[in-house]
Amino acid sequence: MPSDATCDPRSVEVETHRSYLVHYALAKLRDRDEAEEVVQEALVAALESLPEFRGDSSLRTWLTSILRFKIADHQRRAVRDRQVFETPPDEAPGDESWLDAQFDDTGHWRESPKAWLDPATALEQRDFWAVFERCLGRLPPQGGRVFFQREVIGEETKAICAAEGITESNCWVLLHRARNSLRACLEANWFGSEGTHGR
Amino acid sequence: MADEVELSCREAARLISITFERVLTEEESVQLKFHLGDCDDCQHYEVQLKFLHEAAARYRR
Ligand SMILES: [Zn+2]
Repeated sequence: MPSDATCDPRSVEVETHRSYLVHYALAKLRDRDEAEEVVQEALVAALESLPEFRGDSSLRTWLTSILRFKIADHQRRAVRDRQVFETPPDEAPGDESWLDAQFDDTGHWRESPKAWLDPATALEQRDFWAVFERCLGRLPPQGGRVFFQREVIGEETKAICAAEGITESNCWVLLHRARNSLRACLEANWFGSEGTHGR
Repeated sequence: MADEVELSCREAARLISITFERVLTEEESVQLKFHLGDCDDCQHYEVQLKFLHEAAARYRR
């Protein structure tokens, strides 16, 4: 086994996880430039120590653990430099007017959710994950962060809300909204175009 | 059909999303079951959210 990471065929595979890692960092750091910078640092560090990766966990899990160190590092530096900045609030979490776009006055769906064709197969398709990532990227910033931490990382809602400085019920509203947008996005961009994808 | 205790799709959808966060009260759960028994749209929605939940967890790996 060559010790030079650039000769390691897995170094190409590392790159395919970049976009996942940026989403992860974005959920923690809130700023795209910073997130991309931290991911870059993590990937450089990962390539250097790739010969030590034995595959006990998945490559993604291993990369994420390196990224977590880099994020913690970054947050310590940010506190030290007093660069903690306010992000502009998105929509007020308690504002439920977005629901009016989904439901009519009588509370019925304006556009009926459809039966999705063969969702299990989608999970095995690379193209599906590209669409999934694009849909994730279209969520409003706060909703995207909360959804990623809750559903992707699997953190407790209580901890997420505390970090976001919002109540648990507002957190639920954000999650509900994020789920709604994601399902609509996937329906429009993947499941709606039955038979035209996956080839 | 127009009984006050019946949920609208809007309310049903909210409850479906909340099942991923907490256990529904008995009343909520009965109302939701009743609504789902009779509403294809919300059944699809529930299946879709379960799929999203699974896809998101898969995305982590
Ligand atoms: Zn319904």
